[in-house]
Amino acid sequence: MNWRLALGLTLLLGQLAWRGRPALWAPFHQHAVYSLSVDVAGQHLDTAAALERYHLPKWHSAPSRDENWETNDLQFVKDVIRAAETTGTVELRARINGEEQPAWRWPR
Amino acid sequence: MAVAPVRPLAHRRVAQGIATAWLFTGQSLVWPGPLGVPLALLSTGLCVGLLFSRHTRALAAGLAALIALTLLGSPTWFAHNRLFVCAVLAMVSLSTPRVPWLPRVQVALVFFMAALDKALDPAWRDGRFVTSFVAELARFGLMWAPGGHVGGPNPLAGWLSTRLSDGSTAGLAVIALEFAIALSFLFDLRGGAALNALFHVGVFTLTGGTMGQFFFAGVATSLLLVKERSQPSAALVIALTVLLAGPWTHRYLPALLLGAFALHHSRMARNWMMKGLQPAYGVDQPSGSGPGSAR
Repeated sequence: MNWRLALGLTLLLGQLAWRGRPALWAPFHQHAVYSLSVDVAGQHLDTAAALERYHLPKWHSAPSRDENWETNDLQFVKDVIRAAETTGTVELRARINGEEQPAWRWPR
Repeated sequence: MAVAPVRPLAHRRVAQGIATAWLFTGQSLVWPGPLGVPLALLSTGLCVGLLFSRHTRALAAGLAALIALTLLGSPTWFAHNRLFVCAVLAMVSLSTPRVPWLPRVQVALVFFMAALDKALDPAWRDGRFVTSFVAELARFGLMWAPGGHVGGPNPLAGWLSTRLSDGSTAGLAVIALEFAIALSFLFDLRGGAALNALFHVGVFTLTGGTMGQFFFAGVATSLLLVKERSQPSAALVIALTVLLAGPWTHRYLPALLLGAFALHHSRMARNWMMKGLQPAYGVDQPSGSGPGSAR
């Protein structure tokens, strides 16, 4: 087996363990419409401002409705917030696949 | 005299399609951090090289490495559609004449895992995802595409949302289609190219969105299932990608192109068309008296 084949197979097999959820490479695992409420440094940030703060994709945001639309997995949004937010408090309210979810708060 | 090794033409065409889309959607220009300008220049050079040079593997490796390092180094720049592009280019660069199947297996893996993920998800099986997604699509409007209008009216989704009471059939159909595409890529099956193109064009037409680079890279990978002698020319691949990736594109354009292509290649469709046109020539005339009859 030459090194190209070995590396190719390693990359393919490695994808099966990518973040524990390789299937989420492709969009539409689930879809979630969510809004963010952030309190940091005495300021309150709405969804649009929170997206800016966490550098989350804004392609499918609706500022007039204070919403953003995640078309892969809301877990990605939560992971980014966990990694980025060290001082403020965050509340995320979402409908996943059209169903209202309990509010998610960070830090817990 | 040494003979140059044969390189699968499909790999070069796929890389050319991906590189053209990367250029014309502006991806080659948007790099994070203080190295943004040099990375943009390097990326543009690699893409242009892929379009016109025969050194496909080396250039694909370079662009894949550039994308991979940036994906790893910048959480804000990370996106699954860029990861897909990176993976396909990486597999193209690692392929050899003896092992040309790495890119096909890569695409098969993504489709298989996506289908499996959906099959294991109750919301997909019972239709909750499909009905809620179509309803949200009708509410939100068009998704992002080059030259598109995010949030603009999506009458197709609006119409579908009024017709779709139970999304389970549609959900199961999507799962079956993704499994079929995965198997087609894995075993190099006939018809896989058409299925794959139909899938990506269908998503784009319904949502108005390209899902970043997924649409362009996805359609380009259809060429992995086209025989060498039937591969399109580089000029055609580049021209079609430019048509679809620029700010002048429209979400119905890929469907129209695919339909025209299918019509051109389908003997059955041509026969139907000819039968449909016959009354225009032979109305109120006895049989055998139309054009071309022996008289």
